[in-house]
Amino acid sequence: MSDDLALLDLAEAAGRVASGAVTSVALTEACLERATAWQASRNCFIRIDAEAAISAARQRDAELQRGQRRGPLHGVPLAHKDMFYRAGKVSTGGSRILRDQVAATTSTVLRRLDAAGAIEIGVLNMSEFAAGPTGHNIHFGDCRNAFDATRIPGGSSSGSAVAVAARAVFGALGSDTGASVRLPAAYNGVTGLKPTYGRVSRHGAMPRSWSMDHVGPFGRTARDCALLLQVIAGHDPDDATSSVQPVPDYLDALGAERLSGLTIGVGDHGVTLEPAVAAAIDESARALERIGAKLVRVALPDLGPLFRVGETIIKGEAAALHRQWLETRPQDYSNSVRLRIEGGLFLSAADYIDALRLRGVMTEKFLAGTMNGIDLLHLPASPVLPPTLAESDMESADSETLLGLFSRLTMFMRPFNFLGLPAISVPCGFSNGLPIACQLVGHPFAEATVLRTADAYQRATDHHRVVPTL
Amino acid sequence: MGAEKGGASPAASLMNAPGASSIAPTRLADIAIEVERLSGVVRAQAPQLDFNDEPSGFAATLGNKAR
Repeated sequence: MSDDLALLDLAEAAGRVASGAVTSVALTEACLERATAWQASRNCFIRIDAEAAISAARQRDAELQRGQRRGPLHGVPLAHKDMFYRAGKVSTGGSRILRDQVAATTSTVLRRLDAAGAIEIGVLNMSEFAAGPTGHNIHFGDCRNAFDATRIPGGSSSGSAVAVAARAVFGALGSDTGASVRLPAAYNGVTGLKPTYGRVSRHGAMPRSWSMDHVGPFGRTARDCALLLQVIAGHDPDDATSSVQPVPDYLDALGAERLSGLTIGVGDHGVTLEPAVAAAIDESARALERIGAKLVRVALPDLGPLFRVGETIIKGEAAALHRQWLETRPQDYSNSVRLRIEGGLFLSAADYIDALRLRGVMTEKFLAGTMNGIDLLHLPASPVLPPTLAESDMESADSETLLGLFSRLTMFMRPFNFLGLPAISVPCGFSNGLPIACQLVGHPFAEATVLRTADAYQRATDHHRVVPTL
Repeated sequence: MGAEKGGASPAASLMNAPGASSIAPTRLADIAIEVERLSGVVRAQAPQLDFNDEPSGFAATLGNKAR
């Protein structure tokens, strides 16, 4: 086994700090070394805070020596998409407009990670205002795929996925409004979870669309995602949309070698996938069957309406969020982001409200239809391998071309933001050195089942163990 | 109510809304297509709505169907 501490999983790293086998300073130095090395070619950080990170690590080590352990992430270096506010610190949202904005409050998720003992080594690159599934960013520079620097990392939580893949941090948070955790996770060979809507507080996280935003973790494994979710999940009085549903012990659900009694619906989506993607997705279903899951074919409804009604909500809310800046600072947006927001200014209030009303009705029907009799739905994460940065640069494209590409990349993901269901992206293969992932979708608040299944799959496979090289 | 009518039109009202004044006129046709597509899908789905369906029904559904 390598003696590079940065190659440990989050769960292993946390365990070693807790036992005194390694210090937080040693872990942090290992991560900073990789962060600096990878930053030059991948641009996954917006800011690396080396001195502050080492200082925090020394403090954590001193606390442990006094017998004080803050929580399950004590002394573990993380970093997050640059949209989670920390009082007194700049949070750019990947934008020119907010690049000097100092947050007045600290987000609930960061407060919970602090309380669990985690430290931060910097903030991570992202698509401008969390709007864009490619990872391009004209203000802070494009983030690049961990496995091929000529390819997109996926977005909008581009830096989160790349930093975790590069082993520059042990885990990261992102946000997912239409694919933004799951797509970059898929394109960088890491595991990314979008929890049920309301499972994780959005308080203090830069909004893109209040109704569709989900905060979720990235990890090298499903277990790492479970550990992070355990810390950040649960009701928050500061977020009126956060749920009061009890938070189960996610780690306790893990460790199964067999998935006996679990029924997985393999979705008949009717979409032509890239051949290598199709082969890997089929094989991932067979692997789940080999470890005991019962597979059944399920007919999917047309995902188009779920996608478009959800898009109506995102556009309406994003337009409301941005219209003052669209008026006063239109030149400070990238073309691609401004084009996507503008249409929302012209949606009727009745259509927007009907989209919100349809959400409950269509979710109820999806659960009673597609999800009836199954525990999980199995789908591709993306129909295509990550395209190159050049071929997916939409800065000078017309809106029809832009929306066409973005819709194709996220077609299997955005419907589950609209439905609010938990979904995880799990590495399931490679083609020409590029990662491929499947997606597992669960019932409301069934993150434990989603994570348990992904964990069992990862015990039987090693796609998630492939580490990119510089 | 004494609404002013002189010179007002739906199009002018939309284009004078905050945020819209910076939009290039050449973009309007694209935006019209995009909005019509989204509104068309919402309206096509709307017949499944009952008079009593409300936006908060979504959170209730998630809570009621929690596993």
